[in-house]
Amino acid sequence: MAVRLRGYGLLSPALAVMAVFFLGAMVVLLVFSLQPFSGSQMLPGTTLDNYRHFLGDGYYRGVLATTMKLGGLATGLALLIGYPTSYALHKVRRPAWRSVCYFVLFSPLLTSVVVRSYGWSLLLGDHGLINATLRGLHLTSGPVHLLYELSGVTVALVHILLPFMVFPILGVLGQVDESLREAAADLGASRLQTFWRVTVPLTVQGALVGCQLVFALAISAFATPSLLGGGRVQVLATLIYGDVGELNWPLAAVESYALLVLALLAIGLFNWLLGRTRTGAAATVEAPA
Amino acid sequence: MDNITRRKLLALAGTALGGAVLASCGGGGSSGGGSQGGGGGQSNKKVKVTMFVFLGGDLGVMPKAFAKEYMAAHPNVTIEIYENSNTVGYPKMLAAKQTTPDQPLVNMGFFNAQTTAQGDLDGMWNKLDYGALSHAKDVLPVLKRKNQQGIGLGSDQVGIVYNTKALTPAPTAWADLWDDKVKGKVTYFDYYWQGVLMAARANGGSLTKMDPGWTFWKQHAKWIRTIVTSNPQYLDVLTNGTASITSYFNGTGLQWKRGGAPLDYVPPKEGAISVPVYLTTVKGNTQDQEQVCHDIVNQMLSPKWCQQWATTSIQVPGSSAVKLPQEFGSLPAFQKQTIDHFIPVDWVTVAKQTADWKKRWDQDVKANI
Repeated sequence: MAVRLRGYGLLSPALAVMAVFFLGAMVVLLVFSLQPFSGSQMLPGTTLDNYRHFLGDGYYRGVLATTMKLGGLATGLALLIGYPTSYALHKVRRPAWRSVCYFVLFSPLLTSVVVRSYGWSLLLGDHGLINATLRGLHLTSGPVHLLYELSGVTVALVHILLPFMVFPILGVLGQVDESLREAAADLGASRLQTFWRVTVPLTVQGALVGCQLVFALAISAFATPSLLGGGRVQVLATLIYGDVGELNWPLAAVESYALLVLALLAIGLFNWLLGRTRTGAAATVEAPA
Repeated sequence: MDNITRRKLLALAGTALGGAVLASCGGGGSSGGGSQGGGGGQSNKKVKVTMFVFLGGDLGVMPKAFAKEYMAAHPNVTIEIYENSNTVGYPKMLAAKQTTPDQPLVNMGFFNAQTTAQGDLDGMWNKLDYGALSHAKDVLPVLKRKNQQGIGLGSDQVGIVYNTKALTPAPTAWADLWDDKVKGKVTYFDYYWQGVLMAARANGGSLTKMDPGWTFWKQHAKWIRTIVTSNPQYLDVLTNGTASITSYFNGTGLQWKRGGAPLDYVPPKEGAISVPVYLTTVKGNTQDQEQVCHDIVNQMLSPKWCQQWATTSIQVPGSSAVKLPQEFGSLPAFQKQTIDHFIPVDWVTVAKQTADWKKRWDQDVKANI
């Protein structure tokens, strides 16, 4: 009992912050979302019109779809790049090299998102480095449109969010018992088989946690879609910003709830998968015994 | 209502272009210094005033120089500059008005005709006492507002700005914005209803019948390469080859050109849209702030500062005591032919339709580019 009380005591500062700044804000947003809006003013009363408007309009469904597409693409690409990166980093033995690799990998987190995004705009522009290289190699005759497109926003988000994929995978890789891989090799498994049958099942939880983080951050990203999307890539976060600017706080509140629901659904899905993989991983490890 | 009629525009043009007459009226020796309206100079009470200034180009040059000189002459007054576009900054002002009405985001500033009309509807502005503004007598009648909520400092116009290296021959008409050769090369400021209006007019519509314009741009959304939200961003996409043509202000376009950008402004043959720039003060100011703001407005209307505004912003000066800068004489935007063919815009209608038009801009245009 005393241990439990002490636990709650330690948690209380975090709970207080959450209660005030998250739950408090959500309550305010809920109230806003139910208020009628006309002109540029919230009116007294209660209505579900804002929710009806959001759910019934194809435009908002399109923005919702783009948001999910961006989240899915960023997560998939981050996983494809992040897993081998984590594996390679795990294999680096020299501390100096490892430090250099960590620095390169985590450098996006050391600079402002605005600076990073403008850096990407210089690279991705019609006359940027990538297009100049493509033209220099005679691979294209005209510019390949990367900037102000979903593709450019996705690439930039993957760069920015890659550390959030690599870090959990790296953590799990460090916990994998080397003797399991040695045992697999002793039993005649090839390196590929060992990787596929031993390493992957034991690290899939790290990958899922990484996916959870990257997806949640990608769907709520604002600066990158705003700066690199050039108005062409409309996601929920930019929509919320626009509506707040237009003082349409009720609709912005509805959109905020939509973003929250989307994030909760994704977290729920990944948690469910995590639960399933825990069982699977345990079975995989227990099977040889 | 501040409808600019053809007659008024002629008067404006005639006044602005009548160099010799204006020169004789011009109080060239007037420094504009010295408070005549009982402003900040007559009190030692500390007063802080935030001034809204257009962001980009040379639009901040005159206000910043003015603020520096004014603060030196009035040590009790602090002027803070809030630089933004009217499009982005005004909603923030409105939000501040709704949440903290006695603490406005800015106390005064520079606002284009559209934002000034929007402010009328939102109850944003204080009434200026024209009688107490000694320099108001020189302001062109067309730039004086019937409700006295603001007073004109100059007048710009909206036409076509294009990249001279990317587009030859130069565009001549609004229809060049949707010509096949610029497909995927057009850029607009976010919520650019002027482009929609011109498409509406070309397809049988008008300011009060914009549907043909919305339908047109919905079908031609692919012509738009990107939407920008600030002047520096605009300059960037127009000069780096991402986009080659847009519709924008003569003054801003020519400021960019003056800065070395390969850009130029063309008044379309169907007519450009005249856009006056007003100085206004904001409701919620303290009495001291309002007094200082009045004084600032008055001094900005003086020949010295009005001339500097016209020269740096490349606009028609709002004061008849100021002659049109000589170097503007040859520019297409300042020719009688251009001014005679301005397209009249009822800014109150524009302001009233803003919420609906923004929605259609997002849903019909932005969602399809």
